[in-house]
Amino acid sequence: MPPNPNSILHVEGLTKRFRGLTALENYALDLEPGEILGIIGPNGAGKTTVFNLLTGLIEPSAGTIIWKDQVISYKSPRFIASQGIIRTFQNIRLFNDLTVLDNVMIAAQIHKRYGLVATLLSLPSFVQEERRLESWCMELLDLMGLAQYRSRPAGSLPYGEQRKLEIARALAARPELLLLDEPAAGMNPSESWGLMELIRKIHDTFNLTVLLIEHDMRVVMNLSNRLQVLSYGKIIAEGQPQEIQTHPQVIEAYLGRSAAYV
Amino acid sequence: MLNRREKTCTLVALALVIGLLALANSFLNQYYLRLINVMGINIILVVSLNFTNGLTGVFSLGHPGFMAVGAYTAALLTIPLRQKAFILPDLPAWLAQAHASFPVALLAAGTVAAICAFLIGYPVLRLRGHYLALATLGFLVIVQVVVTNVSQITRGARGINGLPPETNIWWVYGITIALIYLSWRLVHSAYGRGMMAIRGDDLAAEALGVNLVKHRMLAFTLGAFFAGVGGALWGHLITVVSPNAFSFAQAFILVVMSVIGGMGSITGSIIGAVVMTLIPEALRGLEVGTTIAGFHIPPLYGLSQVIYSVALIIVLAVRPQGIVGLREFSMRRWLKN
Repeated sequence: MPPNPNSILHVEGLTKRFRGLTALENYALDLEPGEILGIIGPNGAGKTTVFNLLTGLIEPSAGTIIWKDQVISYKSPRFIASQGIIRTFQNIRLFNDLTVLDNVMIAAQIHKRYGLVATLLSLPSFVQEERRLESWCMELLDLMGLAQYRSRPAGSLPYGEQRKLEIARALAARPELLLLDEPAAGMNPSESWGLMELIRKIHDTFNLTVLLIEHDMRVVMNLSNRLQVLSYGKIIAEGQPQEIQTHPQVIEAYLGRSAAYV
Repeated sequence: MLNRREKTCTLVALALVIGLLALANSFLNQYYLRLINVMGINIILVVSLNFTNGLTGVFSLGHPGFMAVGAYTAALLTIPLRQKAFILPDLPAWLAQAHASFPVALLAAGTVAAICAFLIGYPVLRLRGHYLALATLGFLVIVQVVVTNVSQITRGARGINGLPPETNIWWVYGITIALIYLSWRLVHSAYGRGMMAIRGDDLAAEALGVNLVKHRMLAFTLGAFFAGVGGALWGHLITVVSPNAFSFAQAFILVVMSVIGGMGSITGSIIGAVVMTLIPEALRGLEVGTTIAGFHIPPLYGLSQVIYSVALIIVLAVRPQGIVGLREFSMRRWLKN
């Protein structure tokens, strides 16, 4: 497949084997700027493996990942984050001991512009930059409706708010591509509906491109411009949400029950 | 950031501390002065251990190793040349001729310890949890073995005695205050937050662009620098450096102080160091035997070790996060009205 000239993320032949198990085989993806692409599939289909590979947390067995004309397969997670690809985690991974504000500040400081000497001497460059980072973080917490929790330890937040904080934290790093791994997991229908609106809002506000893994069909069908369906590590279908809902193989592998009430 | 009122209060508190130290320095006897100095040195050691063990979640037991490196480095620089030629006749010429004033020797002590930390950091800091603790313990053992066996430089197990007694209350507390400031500044900056993020969840931290190697290395070398300085202060307080002063027991005591105060908190480190310096000292009478209200208590040798262990067990059972936990002292609460 020739690279799509518009795509900012081009993936081809991506394969990951864990010893004998092939978690992902020959995965391909072309992502256009501003797109929201949903990835669905049964548990163990390889969805999170895609995220782990894209963010460099695990190394691919084969394949290429190109982000804006730059090969990023085999790069470190830190490098990939610095290039504007930021993710959230399926099992929430906040810094529980730290305050809500500090959680967000940690992500924001990826773009800090002061050094160790300026820090230790409290030079104006340090003081001003800390203020700038803090006001940016407070802006985000406001947007996500978390501002009133700013001084509370992240681990003490209610579950739904922790999910939102993960997204706020990811946004603080000013990503261009945001990878959301089951953001609505464990939420009740009204919470997940609110989250959906929120994701749409941040997508529009920050001109984000979004990759979304989600089991809640209502959320994923409403948000995504395009869907990929994974099963046993392979893409079994790709297309518009409407096409996917009527795709016989998908219904068989996964949608079955859910499709009825979308 | 501190507001103006907090800044004023901090300066007032600092002036008060300096005033008290001056009073202590002119009116207290040698025993109490020494105790105050030991307390200050312990604060330096525990606050510097807190960079790795508390903030970054890198559990190091190698602190006494860095203390030893610092103590010997400074000792070799401050001993008068003639005395050095007499007690260490086999020194290499450049070392035999080297002499430095006390502040320069302190700086050298910290620097050499920091360089050691930097060199062993790359292999050791790849490890996690118990593996890392064991590797740093290995470093401590290596330092002891080297110090004991390179006797033309260190006089081996006999140790070097007759160090000039340069350590005084101003050196100890000047460095203590500088270290506390530096520590506080670091915690409230990108560097400290990066370290605490690694402690919380290194995978998430890395995915958010935190440089694991850089932050672990910074915590480790900075901690080692002040361990080296602390070791040098200690050596010039008791005027002797010998290898068995920097043993695993010392590592254990520092970890106990840090755990009891509250690992991860600067306030906790200070409280732990103060409490666990004073309590065993207060009960020292029991070690040599004493008579209280007609009852004769026989000598209980090694009691202070028992106290450390029992205190640790009690704290871990009742309050595993330590006296203050992760919290820090804040004036904001006191200044509210």
